[in-house]
Amino acid sequence: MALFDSLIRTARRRSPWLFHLNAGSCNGCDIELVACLGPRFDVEQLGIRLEGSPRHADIIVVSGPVTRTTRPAVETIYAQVPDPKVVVALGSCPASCNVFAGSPTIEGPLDRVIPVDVYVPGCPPRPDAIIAGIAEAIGILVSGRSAHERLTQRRAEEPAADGRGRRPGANAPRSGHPDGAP
Amino acid sequence: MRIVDALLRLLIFPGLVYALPAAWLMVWVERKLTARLQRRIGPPFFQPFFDFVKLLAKRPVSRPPLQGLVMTALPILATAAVLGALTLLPVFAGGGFSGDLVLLASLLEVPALCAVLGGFASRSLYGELGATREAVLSVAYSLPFLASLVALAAAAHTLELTTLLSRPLWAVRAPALVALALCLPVKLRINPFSVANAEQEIYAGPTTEFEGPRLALWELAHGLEWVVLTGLWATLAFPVVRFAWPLRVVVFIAISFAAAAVITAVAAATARLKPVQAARVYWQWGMLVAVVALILAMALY
Amino acid sequence: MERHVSIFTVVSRNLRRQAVTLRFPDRPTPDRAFRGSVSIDTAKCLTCGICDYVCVSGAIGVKADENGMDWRYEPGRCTFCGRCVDHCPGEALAQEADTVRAYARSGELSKHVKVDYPGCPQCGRPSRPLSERLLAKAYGEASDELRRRALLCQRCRLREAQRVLLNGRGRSAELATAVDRSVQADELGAAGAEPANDAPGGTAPLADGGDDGP
Repeated sequence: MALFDSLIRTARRRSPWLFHLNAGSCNGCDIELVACLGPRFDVEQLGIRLEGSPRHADIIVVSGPVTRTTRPAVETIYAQVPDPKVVVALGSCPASCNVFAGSPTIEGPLDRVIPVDVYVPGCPPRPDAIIAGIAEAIGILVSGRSAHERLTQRRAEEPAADGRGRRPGANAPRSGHPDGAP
Repeated sequence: MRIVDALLRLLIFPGLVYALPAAWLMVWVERKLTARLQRRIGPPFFQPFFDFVKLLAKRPVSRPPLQGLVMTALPILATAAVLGALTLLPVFAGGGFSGDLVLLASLLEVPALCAVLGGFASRSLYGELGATREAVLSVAYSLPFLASLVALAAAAHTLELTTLLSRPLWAVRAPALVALALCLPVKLRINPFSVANAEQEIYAGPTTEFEGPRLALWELAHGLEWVVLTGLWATLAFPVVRFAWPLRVVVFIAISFAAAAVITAVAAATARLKPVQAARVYWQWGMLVAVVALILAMALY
Repeated sequence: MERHVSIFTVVSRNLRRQAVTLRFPDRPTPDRAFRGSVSIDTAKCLTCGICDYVCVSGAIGVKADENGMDWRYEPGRCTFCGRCVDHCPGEALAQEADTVRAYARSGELSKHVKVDYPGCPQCGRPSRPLSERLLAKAYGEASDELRRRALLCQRCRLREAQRVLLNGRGRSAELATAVDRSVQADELGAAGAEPANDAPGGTAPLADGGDDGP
């Protein structure tokens, strides 16, 4: 029903919950992210809450260039977030690995590991720039055109040979399975 | 209590029709007041409602059959227990039954129990950690909580709530209310006793693995707990006068929300205590006050 | 200085005061000296590639060919440190005083600028320029002639130097012509039968014969 859809869309727009994931970041971006929770920027005015569990989140904010040790964690956590979800790459590290590009222990940039919807440039980005980036991610979440949705659609359409076809940049297992990972 | 009476109390007041908006309003008051005390703006008015709808619209995570069943049943059970407790609240002058005090106290224990079970059922490390903390705290606060209720019952020589409240008994009521007020923050999992669902510290505590509609029910149960616990305290703090029922309702709502505001203000001003420290608060100070109430109950009445 | 303020005082005071929050989408205006996205002034660019060399994050990429230089800048990779701006000898780079907006597709905001080499004053072929600052540093108060020579392309400069040296040692004009011809042949071979732009001996020997550069 159109009314329900409209209500659900409004609810998704007004209540986006965040989960922050540090994939090897220097913490500069992380500090600016939590500055958004403080009195000056106060993202709660937009209904945004920083949640403790990926199962509770709609938006995954990832900082850091995805080191070798954090790559499995990034993939696992991405799979654990229930649909619908969007991914925000915070800072220049997940976008391009910045100074760490070419390092043998770096598996980034982030779009090699999970699909990314919004990139927020900066090193670190200012809190107001982060909030603007998150607002854009909320718009993508509500519209239903997130990178994850596109990926799921593509997977549903393509006839996979052995049922486990993988595409570059989308190695993440589908959400919905509580992987037995500790 | 007649069936029609019970249904009205369950569905209308202080049941569903009142409790649902009141729950969302109280949660909003908690968040908004906390924000204002921190010089922030805080969420807009309909925030808890939108949170609820959004969670319902999330795609549920598929789980193995038994685990999925248990993880769905527990929040439903918690919500049902709280609604049952709401039905039993002695807002009006009559309509109780002997033993409804015991039933109310038992029903109020169920959400905490469900939280503990949910933490373990989710088979998450953080869920189990939160569950054990919740269990420790539950053991800690149950003592003064139940002791004060027992003191009141002993003083009034009855286990029927409405009869109990029709007698002044202020010598016993005062310390009992203090002990109960001390127990409210921990049952509501709010600072300084928020260690069970210590946000960020242990991910999300017992609810770590719950998502979508299951989480929506947990949050709803939590909101309803706010209503029933502040409501219980409001009924016990009610002045013993013959009010007509509209006035009773108004005073009940006013005291409930005032209690919610005070709890929130204290939470904004305090930090989280460790489980050991929290247990000490309840077993030392909580029990001290409750024992005072018990002694007064037996000595004076 | 120890001032003990009770938390209850603080929260009750906060209740009476206004929130300090900026309501979205208000934001604090960045300072004038804020280091934002890098922009290039192609008129000042010397195509030296120092910006690429000093860039810590690989946000600036420079690729030179015979006619000019490709300057690529990716704000998504940038650290906004300002090293490129500091080190640019031509002072062609500057940073905008605002943050860069969020974007949805990787590489969406890249800037790609082509900087053409200016033509050699003598033959017109593209040649890499020198900056005024560098000229001043190397030659001090340089005369116009020196300046002109500094801006010549490599071949013209080579020919000019040979001419000056030969003249200075009093060699004959025929030898000078022979030098011209060999340079011309060189050019014909290198450029694939492309005729030289100036006739042999077209440039007259210098009037002030003794001046032979640094």
